[in-house]
Amino acid sequence: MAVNRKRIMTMIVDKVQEMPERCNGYNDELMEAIGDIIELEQDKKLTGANSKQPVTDRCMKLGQYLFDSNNKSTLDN
Amino acid sequence: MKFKKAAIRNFRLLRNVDITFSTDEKTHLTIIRAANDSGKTTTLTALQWGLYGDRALPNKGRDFRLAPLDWDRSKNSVVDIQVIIEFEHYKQIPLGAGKYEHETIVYRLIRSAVETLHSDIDYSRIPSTVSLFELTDQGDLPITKPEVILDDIMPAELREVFFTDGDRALSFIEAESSLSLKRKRVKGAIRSLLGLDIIESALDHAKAATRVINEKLARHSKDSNLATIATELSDKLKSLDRLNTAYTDCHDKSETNDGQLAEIEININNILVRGNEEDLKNERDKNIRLIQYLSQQREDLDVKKSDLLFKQSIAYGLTNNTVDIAMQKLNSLKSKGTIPSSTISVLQERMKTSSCFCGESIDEHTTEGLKRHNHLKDVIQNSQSADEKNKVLGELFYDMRSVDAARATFSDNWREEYLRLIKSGETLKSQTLTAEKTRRDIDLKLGKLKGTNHAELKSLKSTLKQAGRELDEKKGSLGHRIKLLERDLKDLEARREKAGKSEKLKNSKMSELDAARDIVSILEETLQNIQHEELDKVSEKMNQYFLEMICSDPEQGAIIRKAHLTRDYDILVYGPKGQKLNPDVDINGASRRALTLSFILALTTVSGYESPNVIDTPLGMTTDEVKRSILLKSIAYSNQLVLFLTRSEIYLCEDILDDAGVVQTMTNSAHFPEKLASKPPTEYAEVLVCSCNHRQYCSICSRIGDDKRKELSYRNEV
Repeated sequence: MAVNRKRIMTMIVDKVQEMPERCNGYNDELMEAIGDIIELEQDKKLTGANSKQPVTDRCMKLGQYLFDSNNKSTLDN
Repeated sequence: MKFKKAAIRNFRLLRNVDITFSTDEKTHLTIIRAANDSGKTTTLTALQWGLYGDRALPNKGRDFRLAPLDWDRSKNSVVDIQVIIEFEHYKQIPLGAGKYEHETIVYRLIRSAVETLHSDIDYSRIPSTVSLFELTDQGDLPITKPEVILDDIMPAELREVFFTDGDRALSFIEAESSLSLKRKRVKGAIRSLLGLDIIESALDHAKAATRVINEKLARHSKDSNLATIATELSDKLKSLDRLNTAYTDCHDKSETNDGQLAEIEININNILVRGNEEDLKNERDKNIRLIQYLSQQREDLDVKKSDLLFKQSIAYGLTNNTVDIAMQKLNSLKSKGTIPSSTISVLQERMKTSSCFCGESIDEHTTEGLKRHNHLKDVIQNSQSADEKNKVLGELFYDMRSVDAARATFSDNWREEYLRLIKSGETLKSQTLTAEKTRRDIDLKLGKLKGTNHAELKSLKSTLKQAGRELDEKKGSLGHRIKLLERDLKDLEARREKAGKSEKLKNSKMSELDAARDIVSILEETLQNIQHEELDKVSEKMNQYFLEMICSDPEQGAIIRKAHLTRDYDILVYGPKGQKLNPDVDINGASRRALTLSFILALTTVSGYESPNVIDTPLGMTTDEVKRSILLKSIAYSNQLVLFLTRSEIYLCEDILDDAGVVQTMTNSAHFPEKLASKPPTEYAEVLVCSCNHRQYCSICSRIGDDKRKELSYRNEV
């Protein structure tokens, strides 16, 4: 699309890097989740596909990663 | 995105036109030289039709015939119209985690339509179709949904950013556009190119995700305290949703109200400058009555002139000399006895008797008498024609004697009378012209006031102000309630966090909430970043480009000091001491053009999106330094610049254009013989393209006088 995705993602990367990590590798996962959400929204704009549920699913997937990582970390300790 | 080439077939004057575009990064300028009425705007329209379809045509294609107007129907009444555009697109392929790889894809677009010509003016057109192919080493791969790809690469809301008609599309600042429409256009272009709409949508959906997760937590949590908090949160979030919707609605209404109020302010100011509509209408009525009176006066004068022309005095006056000469001649004939003449009648009388004047017999029954009788007959016949003339002269003589006697009694003052009438006529004509001009001026002023008068506007302004105050109050109240609710939500979230701490390792919903809230927070900050910092960057760049283009140096006391894009999407221009200038009225045509170009280039620069800028007549109304400056800066701040230039725009900028990657010349064959030096190789009125650059001419594009222009040289076609 006409929007320079890279430019938007660079802004998002900067914001994510400023966030404290909730678990090991969380910020990378967060970055990826937001990247996916942006793609979903762009697809929605182009094809009219519903993005509400997929965005919810993507948020939950990130949450699940956080949940699993924290559990794994607790077990490891 | 960059244009590579275009082929246009049977699109109005463009029967068979091929254009090549420069895609080189260093010499990204393409020049299409064309005189007025040589297909510049038509090419711009054809390219837009290719990309956007019929909606890009004037009046969305209604009553807009595409086929050439001089198409020979007797040969074929069905016309195939086609625009083929080849372009490359620098595609960003997401790899995840904000990483991208890039790939350049070459596409070929084919937009076709068929028009059937029923008569010279009646036609029908089947809606156009578009095909798109990806050009690969393996061949041309058809794209199944071309509109989707095209809208992705060149969104319709950015059409005026990519394609700019220097004369007409000053739509971001132009006077014809209302304030709210201008704002809408600027906002639409910015939102689309900076990606605001994408982030906003993502944020809305991420917020919706937090609500969904919270509701699940409320329903499924085994901890009753946590479930209660989550339920309460859920209810408050719903309330917040409702309040936010009401607030947005109120905000939109307030914005529209502000726009209307600003327009009314402009109209009131205009009235102060141009006069009140009621006064103007009265003035117009008075003026119409004056024109009617003057018209009646002129009619009366015509009657007087006519009467004068029918008067005997003017006839005597005009024929005096001629009558003198005629009388001399007639008197002379009279004294000679030529007139009056009665010879024939005397002889005819004598023929009725049997003897002549001399006493000899003219009896037909005797031999000698018959001889004399026949002789007299011959004399009568020979004299007949000469006598007719003498008869007329005789009648004329007697008529002229009465005229001669009568003319002595008439005075010769008709000349003075005639001159007086002529003079009065001229005065009345001049007064009528002045009155008509005054009426046109009043009509113009009335047209600009658009059916409003001062009193009505003041009343409307007062109503709108009141509505604005009410909306502001409502907004304030809603804003306050939202703040309170958000505070409650924060408390509840903190309580939920505290209550759910022990659940974190047991209930994945708590982690999901954390994740969703992180996403919301990042998106909110990014949105704010774009709305504020990025918008400010566009404003800064626009100001920089604009001042550079118009060579305005504030330190040198230039009148225009600054161009600014507000966060309300208004483009403003400032003069000395921060005085606000109205771009519509207070800055000249060249500066308005520079401002539009600056905004477009600033927007594309800040967005970082590589796109072409196709501009028709960008340097019209500009001269000297400003012209060169606009050209240089447009080249410097664009990725691919396609300029349609007239020869006068090129004049004194030739050295700059020497760096263009591609230069072509368009010529309208219909300009022969009035403007073109050579007969074009076509029988139709059509645009011909040759490869002459801005310093050349050839047998196709040569215009009368080109051979005398020092800056041009003849190009031999090979």
